[in-house]
Amino acid sequence: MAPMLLSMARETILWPSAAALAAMLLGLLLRDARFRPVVSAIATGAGFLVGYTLIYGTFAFPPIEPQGWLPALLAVNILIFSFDDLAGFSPKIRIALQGALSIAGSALILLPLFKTGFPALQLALSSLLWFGLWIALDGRNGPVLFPVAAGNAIVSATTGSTMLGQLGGVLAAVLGWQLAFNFPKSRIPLGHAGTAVAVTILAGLMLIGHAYAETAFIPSLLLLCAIPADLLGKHLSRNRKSLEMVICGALALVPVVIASAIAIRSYLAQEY
Amino acid sequence: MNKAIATLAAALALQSGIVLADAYQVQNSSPAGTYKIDPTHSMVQFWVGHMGVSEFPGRFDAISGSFTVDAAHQEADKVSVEVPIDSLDTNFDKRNKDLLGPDFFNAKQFPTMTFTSTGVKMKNANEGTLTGNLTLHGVTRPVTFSLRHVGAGPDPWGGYRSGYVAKTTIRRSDFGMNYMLNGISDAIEVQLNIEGKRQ
Repeated sequence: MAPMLLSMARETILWPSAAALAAMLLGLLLRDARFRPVVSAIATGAGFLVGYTLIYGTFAFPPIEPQGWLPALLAVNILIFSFDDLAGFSPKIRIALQGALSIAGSALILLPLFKTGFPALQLALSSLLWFGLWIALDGRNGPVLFPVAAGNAIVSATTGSTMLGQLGGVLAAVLGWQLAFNFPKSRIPLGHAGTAVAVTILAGLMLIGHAYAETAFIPSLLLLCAIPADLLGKHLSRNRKSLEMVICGALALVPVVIASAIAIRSYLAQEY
Repeated sequence: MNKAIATLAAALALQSGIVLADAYQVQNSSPAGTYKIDPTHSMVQFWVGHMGVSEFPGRFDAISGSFTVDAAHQEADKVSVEVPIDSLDTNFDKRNKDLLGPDFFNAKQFPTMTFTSTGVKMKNANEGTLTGNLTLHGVTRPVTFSLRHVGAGPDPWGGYRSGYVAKTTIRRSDFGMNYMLNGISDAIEVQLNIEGKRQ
């Protein structure tokens, strides 16, 4: 394998997986199970931050570029929703916080575009999609999040930006381990905090891809079509947990595979 | 005999033709004055190392700005250049898109690159250094170019022109462009070819 490709694989998969795995294995040692969703959020965040540092490598506050907001957004989400997992917010407060953070995340990522005009429609749509993604996946253990994250990595890398694709790959790698830890038995559940971290990275990367890298629209839309698979899978499995994960994952894979195929085909038409 | 005369005449005609057509020559008139950059005869080019096996060129086709030259008062010399990032061309659309995206130039957020001089030092009539601030990718850093004055003189349309070549090497990481430093070199050679029309 070419040295550059090996290096990219280490940055995207190996080191982020190692960081997330280490955190999750430590989490297994915790006797109090209430802390495990918090560990899951920390593991997901730590894995992503390792990949982010190796791939993008720029930390500045305020950030120079939109992706620079991701670490700060992760930290805020971990703090707020770890408290939620431990103390338990009322559903109304949780939804209000998720809504506020979806709008704040979208606004921060679109902030550089405010110089040339107020992208009101873009801000409204992205906040709505961010929030919708969050509500649909909150507290789920990743049977849908993982394939969507993997699909986003492929679509970004092939039609938008290699860097965003790599960062998407980091999220997919970390969520892959998270899924492995929770199948068939839930050991380190994502919880509210883990979902907050994963959704923030996924929605943030997708928005950056569309606002700054001209990532293809149709494959991205297809990826979002995988989200209802969670509800459908839940209904079809009739509350059998491990079956539910398999059905949700399989259903989510359909639009993800189609989206990836479209993106790869368009990439191959312009091969280097 | 007639054939020999004809051959000699043809040779003389060819020879005189060569002599009559003037050779290209540099104009050495004074470059003093304030010039507006002629974008059709000016360009920014760069060379970047690719995967450790080649040095690949790229260019920015659009450029605007001005420069002022006063040999008697060198401290008054100044250069100001603005380059729209989306005028980048590397002879392959997909690569252009990659370079203009968030991986490198992030042209949506940082649509222009600017250079404003802080000093010009000529060690003789034609060579010197040009120092100034380069703003690229939202980061401003001091940069020093080696400067060569190519020539100055009247153009065929009643104007007066002067031109320079400026070269430097920058590190893209100094400007916050850190992506893929293992595959695309950090050091980038930059060459600015400028022709100005005196105002």
